[in-house]
Amino acid sequence: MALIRPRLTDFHGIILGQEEIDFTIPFLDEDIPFCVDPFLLWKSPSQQDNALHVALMNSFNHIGFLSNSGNSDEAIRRLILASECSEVGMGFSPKREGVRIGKELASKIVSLFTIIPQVKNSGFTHLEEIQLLVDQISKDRISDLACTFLKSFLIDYTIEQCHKYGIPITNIEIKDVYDQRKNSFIDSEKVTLPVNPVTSRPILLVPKRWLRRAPWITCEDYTKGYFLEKVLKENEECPSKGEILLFNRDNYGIVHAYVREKERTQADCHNDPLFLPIPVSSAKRKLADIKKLPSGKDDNADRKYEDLICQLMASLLYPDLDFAAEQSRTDSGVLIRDLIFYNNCSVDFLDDIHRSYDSRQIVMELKNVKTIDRTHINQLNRYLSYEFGRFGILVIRNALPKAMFQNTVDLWSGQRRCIITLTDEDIELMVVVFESKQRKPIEVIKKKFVEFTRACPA
Amino acid sequence: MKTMQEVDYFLKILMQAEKVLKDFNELSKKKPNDAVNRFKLSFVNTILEQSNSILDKDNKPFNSFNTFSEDDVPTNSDVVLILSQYLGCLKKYGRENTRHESFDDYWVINGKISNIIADLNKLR
Repeated sequence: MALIRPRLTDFHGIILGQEEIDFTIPFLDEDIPFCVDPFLLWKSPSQQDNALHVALMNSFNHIGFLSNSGNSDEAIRRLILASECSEVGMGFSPKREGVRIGKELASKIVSLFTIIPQVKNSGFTHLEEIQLLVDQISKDRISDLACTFLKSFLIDYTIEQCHKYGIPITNIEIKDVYDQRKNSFIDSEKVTLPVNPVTSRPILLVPKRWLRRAPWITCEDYTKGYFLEKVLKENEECPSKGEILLFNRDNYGIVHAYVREKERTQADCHNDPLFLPIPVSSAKRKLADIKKLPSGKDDNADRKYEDLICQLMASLLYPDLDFAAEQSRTDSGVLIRDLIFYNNCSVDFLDDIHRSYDSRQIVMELKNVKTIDRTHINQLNRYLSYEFGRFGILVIRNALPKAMFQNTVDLWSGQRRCIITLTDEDIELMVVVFESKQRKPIEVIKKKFVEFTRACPA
Repeated sequence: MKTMQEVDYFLKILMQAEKVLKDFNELSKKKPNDAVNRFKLSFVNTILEQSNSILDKDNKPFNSFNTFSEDDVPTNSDVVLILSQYLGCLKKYGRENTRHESFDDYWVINGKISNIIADLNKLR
């Protein structure tokens, strides 16, 4: 069995928490649902990021220059090349594979440099503006365009970060790297980069500070926050998106004014955190809901319990444990829901678990039953192998009966498997310390682990 | 007690245990089930260790308990329970080491009545 939702670092056995590093740890088989927002480079206090934004816009505007000097075909070809950057693994597709734009859409974008006089003369100041002028430009397309034009920087950044954290890199060819001096794409370049073991393709790392869930300038924001409020007259019906885009192309001054306004309010534009824990009040509400829920399956209580625990645990344990996935499996005809966490070894006992029980990922099995019996423990025990190592957590309602606790101790004695339990009482303590900040919620799990270890024969 | 220094040391620990118990009583009233952070717990444990070094076997509150383990994540009410037991036993131990004579209470040092007056109000 392989890692669940494998990340580059976990695959290589490198222990890194997402919170402690500068880049996003890429998944090997799916995209990270974020996009590189060029506006964050523009507003960054870093001179390097500002310079990269200038380089990005120069590269993009060069396409306009080519088009206006009678080389439209080449301009379209380059834009198509720049429209997908699969190496960064950002976007909203379920798979780590995107597609480039078609010739028709590329010609529409290139034509902007001809039909809009202001753009023809001075080019664009923000790449995101094209979303307001041409249809079918999604937020991940903007991200891909930015990444392709900045690929050369991202290669250097990736190599630097890989050296810093010991991520293996190999000689590999990377395609379509933009050369700023020649203002053209290099077909392929030999570089040393980390490689996706699933696809054997190069991986580029992206700084967290460039990421947002949606760009600062978007068509939806323009329509709702500017067009409907400031452009549309009273009693006028809201036009369709196509009509708005057409209007924008004919009235570029309005788009320009909107962009200036977004620049003025740049202080509100921040990169989005990769994981946002739920607030304390919400955690307390969820705990109250859990305590009210009966054990068993009546009124879908089991499903509700699992949903609440899932939302609660991911937040309570962040950033000590990065949440990997929630998954369902069937064992002996019973549907079981698990929570899987990456073991970051951020706390001494997690390191202990990693070394003593080979746990690269930590599994929590959720059981909304009144009393745990041998079957429940065996279900988790059968699951403990390979990446999960020999450590697992049963999240249950009430404390284990004495005989069942002895059963877990016997499992340790016979097979060196460690199964600990978290009851409603433990979860309550986790929420209390989550609020008071006197201790970390992960310490409650450590407490249970220590208690279990004490009960095991010496 | 064997020396005057031991009496002073005993009084210092008694005072510290009283003050810390008072603080934890306040915390416990608000949040009895909240965990005690490592910083506070280290000082509670220091008081408990010092008390253990003074109290003889008969006066120690629990033979199976010495100090809190940080890994056990003790709560405010746990600390109140243990500290109040220790405070009671420290006072009892103190009273056992005083004697009433000529209208006053005196510390007993090395089995003999000293001329140092003991304030029994502190030991009740």
